[in-house]
Amino acid sequence: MSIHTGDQSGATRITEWGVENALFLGDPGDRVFATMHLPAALAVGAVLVCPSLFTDTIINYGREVELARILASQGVAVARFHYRGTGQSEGEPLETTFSSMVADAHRVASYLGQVSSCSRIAALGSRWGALVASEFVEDGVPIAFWEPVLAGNSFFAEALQASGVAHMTSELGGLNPKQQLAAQGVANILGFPMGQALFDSGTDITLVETLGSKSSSVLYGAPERKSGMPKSHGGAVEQLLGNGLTVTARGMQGPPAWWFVADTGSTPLDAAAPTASWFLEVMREDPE
Amino acid sequence: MKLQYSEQPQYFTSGNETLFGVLTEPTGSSNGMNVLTICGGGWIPSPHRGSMWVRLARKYAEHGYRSYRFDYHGVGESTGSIFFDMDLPPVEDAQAALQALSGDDHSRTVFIGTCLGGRTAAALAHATNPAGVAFLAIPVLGAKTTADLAKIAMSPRIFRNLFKAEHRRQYKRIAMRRAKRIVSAFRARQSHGLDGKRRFIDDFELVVRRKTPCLFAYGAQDPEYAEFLEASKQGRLAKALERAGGLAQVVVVPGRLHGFGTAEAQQHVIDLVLPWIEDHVGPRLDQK
Repeated sequence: MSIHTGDQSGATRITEWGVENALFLGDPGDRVFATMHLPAALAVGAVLVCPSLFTDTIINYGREVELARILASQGVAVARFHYRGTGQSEGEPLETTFSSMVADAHRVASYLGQVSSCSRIAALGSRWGALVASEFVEDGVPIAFWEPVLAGNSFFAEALQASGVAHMTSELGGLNPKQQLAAQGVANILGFPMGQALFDSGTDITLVETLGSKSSSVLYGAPERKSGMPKSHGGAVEQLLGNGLTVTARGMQGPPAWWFVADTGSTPLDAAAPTASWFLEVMREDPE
Repeated sequence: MKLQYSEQPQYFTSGNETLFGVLTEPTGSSNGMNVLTICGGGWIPSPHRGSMWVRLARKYAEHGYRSYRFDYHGVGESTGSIFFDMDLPPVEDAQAALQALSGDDHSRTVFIGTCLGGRTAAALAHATNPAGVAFLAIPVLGAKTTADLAKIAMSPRIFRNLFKAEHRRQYKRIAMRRAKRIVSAFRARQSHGLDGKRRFIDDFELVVRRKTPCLFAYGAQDPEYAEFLEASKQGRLAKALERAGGLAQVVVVPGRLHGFGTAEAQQHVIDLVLPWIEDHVGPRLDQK
């Protein structure tokens, strides 16, 4: 493993699964933090990973990295990033909107295209990231979802409810997150700020409408239950099929998304390996 | 846009793994002081919850501080896998990050650790000789031992509850989890070549002997604060605190710090550590 640190192009390391390059993209004050996972040889395809928000980012981080490393080792270039106003990226959290997230996705994808020489960028959307990925993806390009958020309004309602419960049990008093949003324009979602701008811009977004009939192939990953896929996800799959998309619905082992990080650590869906296999399969059938 | 900080992603080695870190430096004049921020357990990547370490680093850079945040092995962008145990802080990772921040001279470096990160900071202060250490919401006692749990299990209440199937299932789950932890901890110790647990008090006593300024910060509602109060009444911690005198500051803020689950808790951290460094650490260095 060789390591290189310390210049304007970020940090680069050569690993057993390819080359990793962590860097900031954009102008000072407005930069997006991203990590490129590049195969050692010419890339056979490229995937942009759109992450979720709030506690989801902690829970999903490991498996997104794992997916990127598996794909890079199999010849697929991958980019992961933090939305402006979150994580390592610059920008004001209260200025983050659905549109700014999609713009970040385009910025990172453009760089991924340059460094991988791939013109088509497939996407993975994890939870909230599914909405961003659906808006970002171009016609005829594969897209994968991990337990996607189906509608912005229900995601925000859940966020406010979960943080409301935490607020109540903390006995801190004061405004609960819903009241904070109304009175101050920002709600505390378990330690992550959710601004009014994000709430307003994302509340009417739905997965099925946003994706429409754009993508050629869809992998729909949701938690597996004895009774099959949860009803809401089953309904979304039906609607996507109705839009004329080719959808592979796959149950994935592991607990469903949850707002609180368990003290036993992150135990997300076992999704990385099956998702990598699916991307490789669709990219083989329809090469760059 | 002219920023008052510059940031550089870096990769560095710790044992067989490569870790990820971000160095933040002032673009204006430096005061020659360094800050190493250390996350707790729970697989939280280096920005910390709500980007707390990122905001701290950028704000402190305005005051002339260089700082470093990093992912433990098995977390975020770093390679490997990790098992977190309060009595086995990943001190080798922190030591490697410290080397990346300030080379071999740690005399003008302050460690700031949250929860398990505070235990890591104490262990690192034992191995090095920093300018100061801030322990944020740190548990000063070890995790409950199997003997402690066995004692609890012998109580009449637990015996009574064994007649109920629901409780039996619950106890079985707890016992299984405990067994799993014992096995994981044993494996972790084997792989790190450690022969025993690391106790906070051993590290703290040495820090006091070296006359290193320390800050303990808690939320009034943190269970860790109740534990600290109890432990500081008598025994080794009480003696060590007495010996430290004015070198050990204790700050208690309203509500909770532990978990850093609110914007207020995160802001408390950013706001209270800087004046402590400037009032209690900086002047001592100037005297030297």
